[in-house]
Amino acid sequence: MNKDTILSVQNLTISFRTINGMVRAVRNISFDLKRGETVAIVGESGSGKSVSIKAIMGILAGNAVVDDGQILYEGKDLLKFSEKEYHKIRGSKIGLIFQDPLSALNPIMKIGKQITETLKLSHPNMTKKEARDRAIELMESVGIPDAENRFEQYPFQFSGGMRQRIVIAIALARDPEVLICDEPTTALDVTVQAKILDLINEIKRERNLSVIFITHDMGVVANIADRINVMYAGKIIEKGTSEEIFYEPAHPYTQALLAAMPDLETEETLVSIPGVPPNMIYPPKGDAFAARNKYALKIDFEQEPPFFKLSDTHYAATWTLHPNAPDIEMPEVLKNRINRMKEGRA
Amino acid sequence: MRNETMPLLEVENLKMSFTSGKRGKKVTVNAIDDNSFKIYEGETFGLVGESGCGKTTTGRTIIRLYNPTEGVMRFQGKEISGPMTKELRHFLTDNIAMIFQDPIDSLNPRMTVEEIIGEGLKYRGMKNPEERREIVYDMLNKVGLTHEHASRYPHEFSGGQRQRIGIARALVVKPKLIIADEPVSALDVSVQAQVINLLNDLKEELGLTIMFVAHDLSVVKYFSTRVAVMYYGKIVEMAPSEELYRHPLHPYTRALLSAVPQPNPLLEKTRQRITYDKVRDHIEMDEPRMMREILPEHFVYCNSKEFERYQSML
Repeated sequence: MNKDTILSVQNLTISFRTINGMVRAVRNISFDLKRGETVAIVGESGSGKSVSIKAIMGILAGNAVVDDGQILYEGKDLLKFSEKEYHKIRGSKIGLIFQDPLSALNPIMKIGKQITETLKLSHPNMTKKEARDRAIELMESVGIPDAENRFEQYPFQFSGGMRQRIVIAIALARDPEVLICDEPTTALDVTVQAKILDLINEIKRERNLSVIFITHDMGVVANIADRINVMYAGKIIEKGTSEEIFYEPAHPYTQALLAAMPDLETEETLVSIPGVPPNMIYPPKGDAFAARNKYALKIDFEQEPPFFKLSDTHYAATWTLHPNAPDIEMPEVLKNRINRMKEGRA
Repeated sequence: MRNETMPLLEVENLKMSFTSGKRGKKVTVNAIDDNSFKIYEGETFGLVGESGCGKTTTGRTIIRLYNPTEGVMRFQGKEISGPMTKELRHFLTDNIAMIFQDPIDSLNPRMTVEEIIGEGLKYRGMKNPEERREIVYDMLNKVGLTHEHASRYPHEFSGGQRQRIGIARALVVKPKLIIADEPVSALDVSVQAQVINLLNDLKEELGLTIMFVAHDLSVVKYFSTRVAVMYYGKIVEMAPSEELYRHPLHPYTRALLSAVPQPNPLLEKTRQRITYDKVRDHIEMDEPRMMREILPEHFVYCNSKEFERYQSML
């Protein structure tokens, strides 16, 4: 393991026992998180992105089975940890921010108490006064105005954006090294979303945090990520730096995902991906995206594609990159957009 | 293609307020604060704003799920804001239909797809089930589903398919105006595109007029011919969508545009956001603000000093 790597997920495979059979939610994924960088995991609902980070936090549902893999944090495999050992890591080393700030907060406990409660976990000897001062300091650092008075308020008295700031403050209270954000802005308005993204970027720089950012919104990813993993049907199908994913997407699914969303200058017809993601009780044999991909080759239905290397940082698992495969055309919407972006860059 | 003389829907000085609390503590919220706009035949009118700005209330008031507090609404010249009579209700349900945001909650889980889609026909006096079935089948085909789907229940469908059922239900009565309230925001990106493309095709095929209510500016801009931006119950700017995007004038519109995430990492990482500050960004004067036409069809809510400032920005 590289010295800069703080967290490393290797060959992680997770299934869920259900009455209909085993759901293969995560299938053999690997990624690294380096110190001080932001790694994004992008995918649609059901692609397995939330399940993988729940595995990192050790909060998988009771019917989950980890079939294979390792999650290495500081060289130790988290999956082998006992609940007691996990307590030393969860929250204090690895923090988590949830999607819905209202359900992450206790509705009948004052905000201040919720923050100081967390502080006391790390500093059991802290006096009430110290904890209060530290909590107010934290609230100010995440941009809550009039923190002194708001300390005494309840969650329902805060707006959605302010609630998310409090959730961030609670996560930061124990000074974690790794911050995992699970769709932290999905429930928020665009203007508020922009502010929260700026805040996450800022605290990341200040505290030299390493961030794993889960989202389905490609626009948000462009803002926040250094490196991107695109997930589909429980697998990472393309990984690269954010420039590579946005300017040179190689997997047909990544291309389709980008071509399906309009930006402010889009005039062409959007490319919709036909069909629905596969049933993960019976994951398809070859490339999981083949059934929805009009460029699918015969081999796509028979054999799983390996990762093809495009650069030192850019890999895509698709047979279309095989030297013998016919060239495919990028969707027109996307081609035009990339040209537009390149002109803007020059 | 646009009928200049006769708008399909005319809304004048519409106000909608909700009261809560009792006696001394009565609180009034002006969800729609004196808005006027027109929707012409064949266009897609986008209404965009943040949560709580009154965009959904506007749609619901037009279809008279709420009784407007003040103001006049006319549909094809006929007033639809008066007291609710049987005749008015029939007129409304014949001409205006709604597509809802949540494709799960808006479909009755105990009805089959055929019953859901055919219900509107039944209430319009089509008593013969055979006749209804034929129309339902035809409708299912139009929205990209098949006959076999007719006997199933909503829970058997994916989010995108459910939204198709919602669209089929709205279209089956051949309405002239569709109010689509956030029809794609609950869907995944790839499915979003399916539904947007479907709505676009149907609009052309059936000559629909659509009022598109949403918070996602990229989608609204892409889908609509004209866009109105709403802030705290007030329409602050209204223009053809291309024009609004090229020359956003009201500071709130500019803030909203600058916050829309773009799929372009190098741009995103250097982007300067504009924030909207009600006090800082406006020039106060005694004269009340109103909608002023700054360019043909481009309206901004401002007073005369601000109007001058906006003109100099063009």
